[in-house]
Amino acid sequence: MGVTKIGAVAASFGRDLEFDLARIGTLIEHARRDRVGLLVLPDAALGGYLDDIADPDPNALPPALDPDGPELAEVAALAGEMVVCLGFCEADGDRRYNTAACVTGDGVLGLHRKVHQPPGESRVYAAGSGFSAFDSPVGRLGMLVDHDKTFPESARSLALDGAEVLACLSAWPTSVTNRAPRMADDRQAKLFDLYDRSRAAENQVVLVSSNLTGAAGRMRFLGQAKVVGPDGGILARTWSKAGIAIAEVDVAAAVGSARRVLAHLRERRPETYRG
Amino acid sequence: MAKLRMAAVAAPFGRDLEEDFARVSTIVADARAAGVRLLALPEACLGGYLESLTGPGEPPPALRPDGPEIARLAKIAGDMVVVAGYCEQGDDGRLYNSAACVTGDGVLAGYRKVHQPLGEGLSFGRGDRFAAFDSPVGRLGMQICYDKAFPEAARALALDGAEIVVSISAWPLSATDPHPDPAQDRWTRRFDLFDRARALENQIVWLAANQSGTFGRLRFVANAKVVDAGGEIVAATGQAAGTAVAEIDVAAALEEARRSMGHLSNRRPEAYGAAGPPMPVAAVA
Repeated sequence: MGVTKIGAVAASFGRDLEFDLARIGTLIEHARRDRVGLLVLPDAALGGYLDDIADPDPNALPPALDPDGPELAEVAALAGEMVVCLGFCEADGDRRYNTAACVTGDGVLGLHRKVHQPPGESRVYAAGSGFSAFDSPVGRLGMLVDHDKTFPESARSLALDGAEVLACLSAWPTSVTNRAPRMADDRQAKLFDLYDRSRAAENQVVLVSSNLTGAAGRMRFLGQAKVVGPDGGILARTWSKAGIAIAEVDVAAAVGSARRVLAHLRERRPETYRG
Repeated sequence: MAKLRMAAVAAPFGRDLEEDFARVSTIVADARAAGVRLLALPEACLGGYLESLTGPGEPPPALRPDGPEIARLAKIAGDMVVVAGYCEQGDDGRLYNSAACVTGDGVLAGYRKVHQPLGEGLSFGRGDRFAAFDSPVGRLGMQICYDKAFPEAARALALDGAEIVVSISAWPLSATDPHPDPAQDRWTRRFDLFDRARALENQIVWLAANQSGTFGRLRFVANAKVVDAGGEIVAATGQAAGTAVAEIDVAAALEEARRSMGHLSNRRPEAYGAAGPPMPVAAVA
């Protein structure tokens, strides 16, 4: 497969789908100019995130979209040959999911419904039921949404299913109780980085972490998008401002090289993990 | 519970048991004088580690968990809880890379290393379980070195109720491509990364001891540390020998860390597929 340029996006999105689609178009155009093959947009890139993470207003949810509907079809058309991941509010009957989709011009390659929900979110969203990797033109991918990456089991489950690249889409806010003057010093920013680096290193995979910037309700989003190599080292990153962190990675070679001497997935001892 | 003063040690140890015991005695005495009640000594601090990880070498002296050396360690510990690594002579005739948790009353628990890097399995048998245990300073779990690369190991201990995990190591710098600055070495960075991530994702207190100096062909990264239940390093030795000391009200710290989001209780095991817990034997049958 050779070298892939991978882009992790930090940007702000809101309830206005026209605005969001225009911004996605601009980001894809910039990424295409840089020959990016995989672009990971934030969670809630179509429609924005909740107005309040602790006490969301059920009447002010993002527009609920059908994965087979015109909005994702438009993103797929914009993507063309590029592999693009993005988050949105998924409608399935009366249920709503916080969902990530992976698309190319050929359509939807994979969907992931967020499994782990912070307390307030479960009042308005149903939870996903699992993690599955899928094949794409840039290699086998897996997706996580927000809080999923707090739990090592999430990334592990995708890596064991063969994912060599993890796309982690977030709408991750700063600490509400103890906001730091500099965004990168914020407690939540440090945790966000720690999860990104650890999930990459312990699974020896490439991890692409996107996040919202800007504000929604009382929340301010962290940005800090990044591409992490299979040894846990950060290859490219943004800070608190909007932007695309781009890294050039030969995924198969990087993963193969990281696993040549010590291969964590093979060295697991599940029979000892009963606790 | 009141505040608990705890410490993790970075120090060098070799094959000479008398020298090792002398060093352990000094470290324990200093820690006692500093009010430390839980002390983590490095992996293989009684007898030293292997000289290389690529093949079988001269093993450290093999000690029985109920033998005179571990009894001597318990006597040194006295009123403190001390975790130390040694080469265990198993009843099955095999050697194990083991940790013992002792007080003056004797051995509270033993642990045999599960995850073995490279050729370590040529010298040692492999442990078969992770289990937490009660101690005078709270419920503890133990693991050794490479175990920390596997989130499942710390998770198993935390789910078994461990409030503090003591992770003891002989973690070396990169052998193939060492960075001129040991603090920037990629194996050092991974050592630090895993220490912080395991504490954070389980919302537990984490004590990491490590060898310092060199042994055979191995150069160790030192950087013993205490990590709080939010993944922040509260004390560390850096790349030198020393003792990292911190005081934490463990029960209160865990309660606070878990109050709004409890990672252990918010797990979704049914969603984890192959990464989920192993099937109970009864369910398989």
